[in-house]
Amino acid sequence: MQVTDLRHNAFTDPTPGQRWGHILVGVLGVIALLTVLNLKNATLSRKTIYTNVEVGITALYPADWLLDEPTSSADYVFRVQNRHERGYPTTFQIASIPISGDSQARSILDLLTLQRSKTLAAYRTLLVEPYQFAEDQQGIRGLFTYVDTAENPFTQAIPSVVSGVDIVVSVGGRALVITFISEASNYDNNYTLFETFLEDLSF
Amino acid sequence: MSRLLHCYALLILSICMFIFTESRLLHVHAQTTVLTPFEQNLDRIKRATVLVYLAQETRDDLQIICVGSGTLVSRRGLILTNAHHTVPNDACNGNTIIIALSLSTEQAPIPLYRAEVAQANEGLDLAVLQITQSNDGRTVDLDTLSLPFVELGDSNLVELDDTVSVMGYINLSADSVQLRRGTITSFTAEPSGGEKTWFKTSAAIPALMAGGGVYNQDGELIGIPTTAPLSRQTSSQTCLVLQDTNQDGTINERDTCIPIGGFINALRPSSFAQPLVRAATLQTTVEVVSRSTAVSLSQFGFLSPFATRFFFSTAINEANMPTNVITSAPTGTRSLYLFFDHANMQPNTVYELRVNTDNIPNTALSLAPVRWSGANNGLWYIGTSNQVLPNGVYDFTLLADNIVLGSTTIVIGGGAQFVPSFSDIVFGLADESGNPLGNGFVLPVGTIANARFIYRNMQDGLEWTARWFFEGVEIFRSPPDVWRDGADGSKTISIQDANGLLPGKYRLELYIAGRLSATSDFTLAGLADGAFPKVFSEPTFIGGENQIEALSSSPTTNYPNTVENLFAQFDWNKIGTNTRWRLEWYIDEELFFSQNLSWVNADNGTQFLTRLARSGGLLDGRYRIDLYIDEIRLATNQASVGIGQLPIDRFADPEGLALRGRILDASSQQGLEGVSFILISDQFSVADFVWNTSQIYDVAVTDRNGYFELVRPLELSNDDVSFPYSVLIRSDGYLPIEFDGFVVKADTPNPLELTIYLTKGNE
Repeated sequence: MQVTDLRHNAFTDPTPGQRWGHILVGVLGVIALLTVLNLKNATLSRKTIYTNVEVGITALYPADWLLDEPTSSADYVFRVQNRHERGYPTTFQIASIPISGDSQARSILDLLTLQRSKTLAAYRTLLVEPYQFAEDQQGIRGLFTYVDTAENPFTQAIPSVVSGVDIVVSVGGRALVITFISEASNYDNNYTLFETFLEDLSF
Repeated sequence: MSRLLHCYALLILSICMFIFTESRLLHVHAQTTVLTPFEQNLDRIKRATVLVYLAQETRDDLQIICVGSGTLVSRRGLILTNAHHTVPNDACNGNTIIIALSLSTEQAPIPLYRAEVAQANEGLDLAVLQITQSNDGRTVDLDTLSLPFVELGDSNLVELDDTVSVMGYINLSADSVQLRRGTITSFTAEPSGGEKTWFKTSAAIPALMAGGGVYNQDGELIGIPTTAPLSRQTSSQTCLVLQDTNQDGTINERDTCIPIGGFINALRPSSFAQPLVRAATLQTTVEVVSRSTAVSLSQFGFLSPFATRFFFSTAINEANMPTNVITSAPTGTRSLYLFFDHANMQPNTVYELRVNTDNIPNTALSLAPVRWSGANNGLWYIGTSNQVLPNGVYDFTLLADNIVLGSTTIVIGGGAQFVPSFSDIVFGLADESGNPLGNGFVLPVGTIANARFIYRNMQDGLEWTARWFFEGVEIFRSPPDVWRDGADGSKTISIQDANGLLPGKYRLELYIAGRLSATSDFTLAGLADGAFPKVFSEPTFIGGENQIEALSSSPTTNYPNTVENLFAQFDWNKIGTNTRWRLEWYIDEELFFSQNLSWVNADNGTQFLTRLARSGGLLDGRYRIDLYIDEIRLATNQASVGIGQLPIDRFADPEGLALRGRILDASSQQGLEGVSFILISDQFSVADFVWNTSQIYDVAVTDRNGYFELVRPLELSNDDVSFPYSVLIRSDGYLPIEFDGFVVKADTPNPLELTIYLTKGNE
C-alpha cells in the first residue's frame, strides 16, 4: 500500500524555474495592461482633420466618427456622428448661413427654434447666453432639448430625449452655426468632447 | 491563472460566434427555394399598402368621412390611391387625410401620418397624395423619410389570363393587409385610354380595397382597384357606420355612414397613374396662363346627365370614331363597342354599364359604378376587343348616378350577313381623283370638306342619305338619293359653303334606307397648309418671373436649372369656340401632364401661354410640349433645362432584398438597443472604409428589442454581376463585427432575417 501526502504536495515550494515563470507572467501581464491602456487612450484621442476651403473651416474630430458632407440641399456643411455609442449618436455639426450686415446672431437662433419646432417633437430652447471663443471672438450660445423619434415606423424604437447646443458666430457675411447634440443622459460626458472640438476648430 | 483561462475561453467563444455568424451571413443564399418576384417582394408590397382616411377635423373633433386603400409609390411618401375618397366632393367632404400603416404585416394599420393631395384626376378617379406631417402635427422632413414603396409597371403589357394579386384592406382597422388573387378576364375600351382603359378580373375584391394595388407576377403595380360609391347613406352593403356622429350615445343606422362602394370588378391600369406620379415626383406644376376651360367643367352643371343615339360598332379608328354601325353581329365576333352621345356628365358623375346576355348578368362586359373620365358632352364608347363574344341577346343598360340613361340590344350569332353598308369615313381636301388628303379628321378651314367612305353589298336603286351637322345642329341633308355606284367600292362626298365653313366640330351621318350605317365626327380648324391644317405655330420657350416679363423675353431652347418658371408660347389660327384640344407636357420623353381643354379664346391670336413652375428651380431634363386636336398631334417643340437629363435617383429602385434582423448580447441573449448596423457599399471593403457616409449603402439602428431593418433594399447578385457588401457593427463595450463579401442572390429568403450576437469586450 502506498500513501500519498496530498497536503505536502500542494504546499511544496516552487522551483526556481517556476518562480521565474510566475514573475515573467506577472511582468508580461503588466506590460500587456499598460499597452492596452496606451492603445485605448491613443484610440480615444485619435483625431481626423477636416478642411472645407469653400466655407473656410478646419476642424479636428474624433477618429471613426461618421463624416457626412452633404452634396446638396442639406442645411449643414459638415456633420460627424459617433456611431459606436448606443442610443442617439453624439453629433457635431456646422452650418453656414449667409447674413446681412444688420443680422444678429440672436435672430439666427430664433429662426432655428422656429424651424425645428415644426419638425422636432417637444422642442424647447432652455437658455440663450453670450459665448466667447478662445480668440476673443464673440458669439451666442443656445441650449435646447427635444424628443427624438425614429424615422423608420416599422421598428419599435422608444423616443429618446436629446439635448444640444448651438453656438452662432458671425464671420464676414455669414453666420457659422456650430451644433452639438447628444443623448440627454450622456450630455455632460460628451460635452467635454465638444469643448475639445471647439478648441481645435478654426474659421 | 483560472481568470486567464476564462479570458482565453471567452475569446475562443467570441471567435467561434463570429465565424458562425459570418458563415450564416455568407451562405444565406444557399438555404431556400426559388420564389416568384411577386412572392419575393410580398413583404415590401404589404408594407407599402396603406389605409387612407378622409376626415373632417374641427377644433375639438375629428370625424371620419371616407376611407379606402392606397399604395406608397416613393420612399418620400407619395401614395397612389383613388380620388373619390381623398379629393373632397359631395359624397366625401373632408379636410384632413390620415394615412395608416400596418407596422407588422400581421397587424391592423395604425394612423401615423397626414397627407395632402399632390396630384389628382377626379374623372380617372386617381390621386397621388404626399405625406406632409406625422400624426401629431409635426412637419415630416421628406429628405429623411424612407418608406417602403412599390414600382409602377407597364400596364400595356398586361394580357388576358395574366395572374394578378390585389392588395388592400377589407375591414376598417380590424384586419391586416389582405391579398386577393385572380386573373385578367377582359379589357374594357373607352376613348380616354383605348383598348385597355379598364381591366376586369376574376378576383373577388371587397369595396374597401378601392385605391389599393394590383400586381403582376413580377411584383410591379399594374393597376388600381377602382369603384365609386354613389352617395352617402345608401344601402348597408355600401356604407359603413363607424362613429357616433349624431352624439346620441349609440352607434347605429341613424349615424352618418361612410360610403365605400359596391364590389369591384374594374381595375384602372397604372398607365393612367404614371403621369400623376411623375408630376408629383417632379413637384412641377403646369398652368395654362391664357384663357381656356377644362372640358370636364360643364357650363350646365345643374342639369342631369343624359345620353342618346345608342348604337354599336365592331371597330374604332385612330380618332376614336366608329368605323361602322351594326344592328347584329355574326358568330365569332371578337370586338363590340357601344357608342352614345352624352351631355352634362361631370368628373364626379358615377356611371355604370349593366350587360345581360340572355338575361344573365355578363360581368366581362359590365362595368361597375365608376367615375366619368370624359368631356361633359360629346361622343363616347364603352367596348371590348380581342375576345370572342358568345352567341346570345345582349342587353346594354347605361346608368349615371343610379338613373337609367338608356338601353339597347344587339344579337350576336348566326352567319355573316351581307347587308348593304357604309363604313370607314375619313375626311380631307380631295385631290383630282377625289381622294381626301390630310390627316383624316382635322381639316383646314375653307369652303369645302370632303368625306370618303367605303360601301359594300350595295344595290343600285337603294335609297341613301347624308346628313351634316355643325356643333350638334344639322346644317345640310342631302335629299334621299338613289344609289348608282355599284356593289362595292369607295365614294367621296363633300359639304361646301361659298362663304366659307365655320371652324368647329362637324359630324357626318350616312343612312341607307333610313338606317344609320356610318357616322364620324371631324374638326375644321387652322389655315390651309396644303391639305393639312396649320392650327398652332411651333411653340417657343421663354423665361421670366411672370407673364409680363416672359412676353418681353427672347425665346431660346436652353435654360439653366435655376429658372423657376418656363413658359411655352404659341400662336393660333381659326379655332372655333369650344373646340376640344389637348395639351401634353413630357420630360425626357415621359408624359407628366395631360389636359383636355375647350377653346374659349378668339378664333385667331398670338402668344398663348402655358407655364411650368417649380420652387427652387426646374429639374434638369428635356421638356417637350405637344398640342393635339382629335388625337392628331398638330404642334410640338422641346427645350432643355440644365444638363438636359433628369438626375438619377439612386433610391428609385424598390427591387431587391430586404434585410432585417436582431442584435443580441451573446451572454444575456437580450436584444441590444441603439446599435448601428452599417452596410458598406459594394465598392468598398471594411479596410477601405474611412467612416464617410458616401461609402455607406444604408444604416439601421436597433430598436428597444434589438431589432433593426435596412430601409434600402439590397441588390441581388447573379452569375453576371456581383454586389459584395461589407458589414460593420461596432458598439461601445462589445467586440466589433466586421466582414466583407456579404452577397445575396435571387434564392436568398426575402426579407432576410439575421440574428447577430455581440460579445462583451473592450472596444
